[in-house]
Amino acid sequence: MLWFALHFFLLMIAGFSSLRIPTGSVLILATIGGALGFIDARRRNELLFLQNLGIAPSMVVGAWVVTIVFLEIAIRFIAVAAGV
Amino acid sequence: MSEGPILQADSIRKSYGGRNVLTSASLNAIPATVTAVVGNVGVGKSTLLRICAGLITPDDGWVKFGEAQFSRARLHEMSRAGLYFMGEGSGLAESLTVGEHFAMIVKRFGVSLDERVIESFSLSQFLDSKPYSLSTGERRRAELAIAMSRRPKCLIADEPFRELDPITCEQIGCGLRTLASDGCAVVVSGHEVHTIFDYSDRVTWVTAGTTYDLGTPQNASRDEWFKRDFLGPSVVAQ
Repeated sequence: MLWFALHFFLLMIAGFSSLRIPTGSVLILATIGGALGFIDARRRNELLFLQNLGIAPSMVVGAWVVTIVFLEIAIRFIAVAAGV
Repeated sequence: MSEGPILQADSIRKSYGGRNVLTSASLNAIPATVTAVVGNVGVGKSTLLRICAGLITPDDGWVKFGEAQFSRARLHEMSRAGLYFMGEGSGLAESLTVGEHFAMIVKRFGVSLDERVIESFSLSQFLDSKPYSLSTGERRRAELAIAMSRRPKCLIADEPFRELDPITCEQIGCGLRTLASDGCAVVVSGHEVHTIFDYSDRVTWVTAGTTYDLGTPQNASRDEWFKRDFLGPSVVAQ
């Protein structure tokens, strides 16, 4: 949902000319997504429990960044396959 | 009781905005022992415990857990080695049910779930509940039961008795004693002196930026300085 909202927001700014967004914007989107994911995990009290499980808070940010980058790569493949 | 400490913190100094909270504090967590950390409001008990748990970086000093010594300890590293931290607020993830917390502990650490722990804390009916739907007492019981199912080598519990009714206090206290009897080093802080003393083996007093090991609760209760500056005149009169 977070990725979808951010991606939709960037497409809205670009005027929906393409499904794809520029590589630089992907990095910005991944960074914002990572930061928002971290804030959300903190808001939901998840960080302390994750640390008690041996999971570093940076892993939460990393998981969000990797997921967003993966979804952006997937959307590029879909866009190329669909010719848009 | 004769084993050396599994967690040691020494020469801890921490200041906030130029205000020295801790100047030279130390803390030892000894296996099979419940150590009470007491002191007036704002003297730095929580800060000391959070430094020991790797949630706050001290300005100076070191923390040793097991064989590893850290100038900057981190909870996720120490938790892999057997530390569990129960904070002042809730340590339960709001997005997970109580049962899912147990399941994650079991999966992550390969421990078997002891149903007796769930029963002893009367948690059976809350396994499908999210933490936000629980009362403070239910939440605290769930958190300690989850910590116990981890079978930690050391548990640090910051104010686990706060805002609890006497029956829940007893359940929490018995849980802490059970952990200690299984060999866990338990460190517990709070202001409910009589309750904490009932379940403790040793007392560490935090005052004026430093710490004093007062020995057993009985010894601490006889310490004139401790009585005058912390327990207060009414207790001294008794």
